[in-house]
Amino acid sequence: MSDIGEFIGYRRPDGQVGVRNRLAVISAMDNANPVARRIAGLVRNAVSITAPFGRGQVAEDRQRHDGTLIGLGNNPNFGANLIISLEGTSAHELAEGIAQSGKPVETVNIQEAGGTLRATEEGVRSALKLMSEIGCARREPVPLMELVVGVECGGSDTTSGFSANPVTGLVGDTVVQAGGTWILSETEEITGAEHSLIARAASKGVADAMGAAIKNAEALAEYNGVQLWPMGPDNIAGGLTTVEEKALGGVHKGGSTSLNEVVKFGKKPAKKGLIFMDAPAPGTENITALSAGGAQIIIFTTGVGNPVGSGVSPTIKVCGNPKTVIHFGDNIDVDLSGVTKGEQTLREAADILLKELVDVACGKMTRNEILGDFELAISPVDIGFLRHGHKY
Amino acid sequence: MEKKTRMEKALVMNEADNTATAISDLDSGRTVSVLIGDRRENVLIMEDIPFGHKFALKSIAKGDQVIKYGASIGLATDDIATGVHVHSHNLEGARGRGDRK
Repeated sequence: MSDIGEFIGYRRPDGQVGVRNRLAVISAMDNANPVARRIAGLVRNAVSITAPFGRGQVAEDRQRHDGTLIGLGNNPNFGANLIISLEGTSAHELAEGIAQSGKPVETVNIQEAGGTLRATEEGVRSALKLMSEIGCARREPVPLMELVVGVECGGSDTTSGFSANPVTGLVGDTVVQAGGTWILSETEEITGAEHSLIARAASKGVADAMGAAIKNAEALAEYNGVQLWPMGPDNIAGGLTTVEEKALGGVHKGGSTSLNEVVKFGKKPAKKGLIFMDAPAPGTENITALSAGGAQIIIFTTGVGNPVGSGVSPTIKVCGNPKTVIHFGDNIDVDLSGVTKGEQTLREAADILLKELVDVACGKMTRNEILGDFELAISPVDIGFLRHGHKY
Repeated sequence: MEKKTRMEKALVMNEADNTATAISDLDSGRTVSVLIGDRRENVLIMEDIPFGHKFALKSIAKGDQVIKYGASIGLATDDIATGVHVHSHNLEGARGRGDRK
């Protein structure tokens, strides 16, 4: 493997390193989403973070909504945060959570401002000030151990399992061996392959937590009286037949190193190395969780084509299907179809992907960054299941 | 899985597998040479197998495990003959069957 040992990134007050230096315009609840979008649309280099719901959510469901927004604001790719809410209390709570990062944060309260036009004006003026502040940040050389990469698959087919995912895993091994962090997730889609992660767990506690995450995914299916079925019609048309088959192909993205920690949806790992995040498999939800957990970059493998990326973490689309890289090529960053065609080895392909990873870390924009193909979704918490069906 | 797959028409992930995955559209009636570990085997394709889909390397009885990546990917819901298409019509997953409890 090539000996790339460092990248250039923005060192933040809390020690994390960002690969971008943007302003987050975070809406506290869906009733403030339009204002947040409008402010972000008027300010270059700003990203709006808007999710449905918020108001009226309760208990663990509300905690996840708010905690995820805080996690997204704390992502090191943001130099500063602007929080928009209808009333002052929810903005204040989010601001407190984000202030722990040491980054500048301001709030706009639509009721206090006197409507959406005045709130927009106030927000854009705050953005001007915040952008001037963060504009002084400079990239500095940092070692690979500062990388925190989330890995994801979407629109998978059988090529994912023998090209894009194993190649991603080889890059993961390199990053982990350099001291970096590699976050694997999509709990339903590891079901059937969890034994390989449990066998490599760094401790009994980690092994138990991994086993519990899978058991809860199956318990939720039982509670709902349905088959655990994270399979779309595109996966099936692409040749994947069962959850187990998808999982055994998907788990390769994690590489071969020891599993060091299991974290919950959107939570930042305390350890480095290979981490498992217990979060749902659908792409948009999972990249939201990975970004909230601090992933600077997401490597997103696809077989038949999935274009969606995170607006917070540049998302590298990787594909080994020779037809997809042509038909869907506008949205593919790294073409690994050479592996499928027998023209390159997994290691040669891993060198190419590692170079892309470091280039993106240093500032190269991914397709979805350039095109704005972003979406965000915070998975709901099923409180009924927590109270009555959750066993592990 | 470091070997180059030059000119292979189907891949076998693990020596213990009873299925192979087509990496080219395979027409019924042709014979495909597959690499299983270090040895080669010829398989007569009995049905059209689209790119990315699986076919059986040996006969699999109804209720038996279908093996890919050296592990079970589910159970055969019908008897499966060598060279036949393996997919949703004759293979069902065994995990997360909340629909059965």
